[in-house]
Amino acid sequence: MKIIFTIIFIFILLFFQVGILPNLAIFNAFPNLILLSILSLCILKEPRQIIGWIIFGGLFLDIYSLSDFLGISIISLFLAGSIAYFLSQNLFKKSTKSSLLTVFLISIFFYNVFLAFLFKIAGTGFYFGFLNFITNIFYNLALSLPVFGLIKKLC
Amino acid sequence: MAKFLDRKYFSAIIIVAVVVLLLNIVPGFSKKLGNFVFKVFSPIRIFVARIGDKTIGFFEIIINIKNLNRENIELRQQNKELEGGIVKLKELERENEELKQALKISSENQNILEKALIVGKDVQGIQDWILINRGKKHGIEKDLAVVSKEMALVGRVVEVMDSFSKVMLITNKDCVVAAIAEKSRAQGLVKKEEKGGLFMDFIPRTERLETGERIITSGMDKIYPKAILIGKIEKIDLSQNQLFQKITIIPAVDFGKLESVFIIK
Repeated sequence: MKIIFTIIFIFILLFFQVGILPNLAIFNAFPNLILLSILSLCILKEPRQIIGWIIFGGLFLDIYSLSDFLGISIISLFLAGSIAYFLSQNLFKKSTKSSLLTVFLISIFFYNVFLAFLFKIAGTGFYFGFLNFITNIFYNLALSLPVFGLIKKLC
Repeated sequence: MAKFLDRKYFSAIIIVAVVVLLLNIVPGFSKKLGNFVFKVFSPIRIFVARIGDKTIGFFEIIINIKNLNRENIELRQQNKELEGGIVKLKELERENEELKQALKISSENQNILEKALIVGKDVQGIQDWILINRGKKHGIEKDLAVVSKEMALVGRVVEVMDSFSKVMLITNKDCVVAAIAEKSRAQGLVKKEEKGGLFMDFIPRTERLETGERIITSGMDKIYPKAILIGKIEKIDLSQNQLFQKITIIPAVDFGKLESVFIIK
């Protein structure tokens, strides 16, 4: 039952991401709910419980990024998730708002760096715009705590 | 960290990542997979997007309710002006038809428009792409120009799948459009600006342009047909230390609200 519920939740998230969020762009940046959900899960759960999220979510992001190169988002999500888990388990054990925000800030930053780096290596014509990069990080950060709260309730 | 690097977990992710990366070597696999996923999910995506657009539209009305009266007066005034323009244009159209008949120019060279729905957008904001539900099956080819229903330039087809095509928007950093100012006839290139908008480059400082002047395609790039509206001049930068003027353009298309487009065949 829980698996069915999780799959339905992932689908709702994906369609919200694909259908609505691109319309809320600021300087061409918009929140990545899949990233925020995976980071929240990495803070809240055992890593082995979120393998499906990383693979399924990553593959979907790759396909809907229309980038012609699969696997980049899976690797970036895995690495960013690892950072979130490491920070929450070792450096920011207390789940205060400020510590959570710090974990999210660092993880989102590195997710974007990994993504830019891997797209560059794959030669898919990635455009790095500083304004877009910064807006992306803070736009995601603004939504990180509400998404974390929602995921925590649903878990 | 030890738990996260748990052997089973770590191996599973690595194996999946390697398999997925290797799939990129198979020619056309990512395109076929994309075509399949888009086919399955596009109806749901369109449904969700419509709900989203309606919700956003509703909140926009509430936010802008104060300006509605002023906008209404302005639009009525514009409407009167446009009505006058339409009469003039109809007269010109009639004259044009007469001249065409006199010169025996056929209307075969006129553009055929194919309507397409937008079924996907780049979800990570990495590049400015849209996905449309027309592909090889519908006679779509690479480099065809794409316009909005108001006949304003949207972009061009850069990749064609069986049932879908990828369209590069004019706000993409790789997109360059040969353009001309409608009144002053100054020619230049329209490119992406850092903030996500557009600017016209390579306009000599001697050229005199006005804010509000319309920028249209010049057809010099042999990709975009001539005389398609790109946008209006918002700002003209005549800084002394620049060789050319920098013309900031407001695109005629609101890319965030695009639902359907037309491909010029």
